[in-house]
Amino acid sequence: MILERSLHPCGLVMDYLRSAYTTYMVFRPGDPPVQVRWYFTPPGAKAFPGFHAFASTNWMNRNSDVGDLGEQPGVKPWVNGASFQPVVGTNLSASCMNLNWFRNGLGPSDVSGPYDAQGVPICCTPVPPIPTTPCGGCSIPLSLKVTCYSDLNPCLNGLVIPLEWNAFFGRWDNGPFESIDCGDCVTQATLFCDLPAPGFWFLVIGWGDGVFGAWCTAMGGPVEQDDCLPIFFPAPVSVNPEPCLFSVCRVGFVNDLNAVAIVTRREA
Amino acid sequence: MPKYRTTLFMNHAGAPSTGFSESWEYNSATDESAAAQVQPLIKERSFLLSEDWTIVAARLSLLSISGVNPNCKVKQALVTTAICYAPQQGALGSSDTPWAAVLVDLFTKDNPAEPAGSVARPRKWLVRGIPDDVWAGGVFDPPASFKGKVQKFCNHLVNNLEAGNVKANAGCLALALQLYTGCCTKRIANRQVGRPFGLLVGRRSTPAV
Repeated sequence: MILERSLHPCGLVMDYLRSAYTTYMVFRPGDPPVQVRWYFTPPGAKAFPGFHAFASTNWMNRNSDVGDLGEQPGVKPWVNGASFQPVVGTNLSASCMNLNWFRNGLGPSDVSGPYDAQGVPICCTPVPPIPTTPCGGCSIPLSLKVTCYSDLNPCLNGLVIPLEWNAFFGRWDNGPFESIDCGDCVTQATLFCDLPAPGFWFLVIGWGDGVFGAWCTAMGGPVEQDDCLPIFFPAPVSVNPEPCLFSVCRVGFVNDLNAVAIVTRREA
Repeated sequence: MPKYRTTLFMNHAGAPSTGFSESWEYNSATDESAAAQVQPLIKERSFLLSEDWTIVAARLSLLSISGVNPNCKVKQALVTTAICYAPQQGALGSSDTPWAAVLVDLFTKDNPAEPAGSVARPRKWLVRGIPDDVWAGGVFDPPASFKGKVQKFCNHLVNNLEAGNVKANAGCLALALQLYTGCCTKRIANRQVGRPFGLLVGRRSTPAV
């Protein structure tokens, strides 16, 4: 796949030009060239943070050699430089920016991506600004993936929950996702900051009958929480006055971070 | 010692289409030390710009050298980075004629000014972005302050961008521009009104019919 042997700078400024054009670049020594298009970044785009081999050859004294890393010699058809991808270039995701790739090219077994339908690496998606909360400095993931290995509620396995900042309540809630019908239950998620231990957070995944609000709440724990520890948790986040027995699920961040959360169910 | 090239981009507030770029090459031990030279260079260069001009961007390239002395050639830029900084506006007076320029001779260590028994071969530096007051009644007559600023910029090049003091003809790297302390402005007696860059030495001033 062409995209996987390409590099995408997430809209960051790679070079300065007064006119845009299309050309071909080699992103891995030995690979066939890939067609690329120079376009103008919108105001506010940041510069790529380091040296790279994919600058414009307009500034070179001599033509590059065929097969060299970066832009290839040849004609450069003019284009109007209009931006064609929804990336602004104000964010630099660490998972996208293997700086060595940009300086020395992809290695033999390196694969860039994954990409979305528009050819933009998923990792380019701007990370929501971390709001100033009592939690202070929380590293908030974009989404969570639930993998239950207890007998809690297997139908939650594989559930991916996007997270959105709820400015009204000052907390992270679940974004739109396809709710899973676990019998008569409906899933939802809420993220809480752990006030006593800033930097940690709790995940709450709930399901219930949806009629009387009799939720049996699932609650995540701080990232160091041991797995598989049935614990009781006080019920400030559960509308169910009955104590719940908490079982453990592992919650892995989709963006490859790891953490542990605790998912509960009501022990009737 | 690795060779680097910094390119500055200048835009004119009233005539954006007349923007120009200017490159300076120098030796530096590391990428970081080369990058550290860019901001001071921007600042010093802005002292020679009129207030209508702004340095809006800068890029820095690590260059490769091919060939053997004395036939060394800059082959190409190996890697490049865009330098992030706030636009630097010029500090001199206004310039209604954004194409005007002054030709400056830059004598290098390899080509010092008027060496005994030989002809000096300076690098020609076309200084754009200059203020209008270097002309008086259509005649180039820069004030002493302007000449002093040119000399100050030259001194910056000599004292900072060639800090390694590479010996002349020591090898390929000797081809790096090594500025001589005695750079001076070359007077342009007649300015061709309406022609870009004014009158250049050695260029036919009368259009072919």
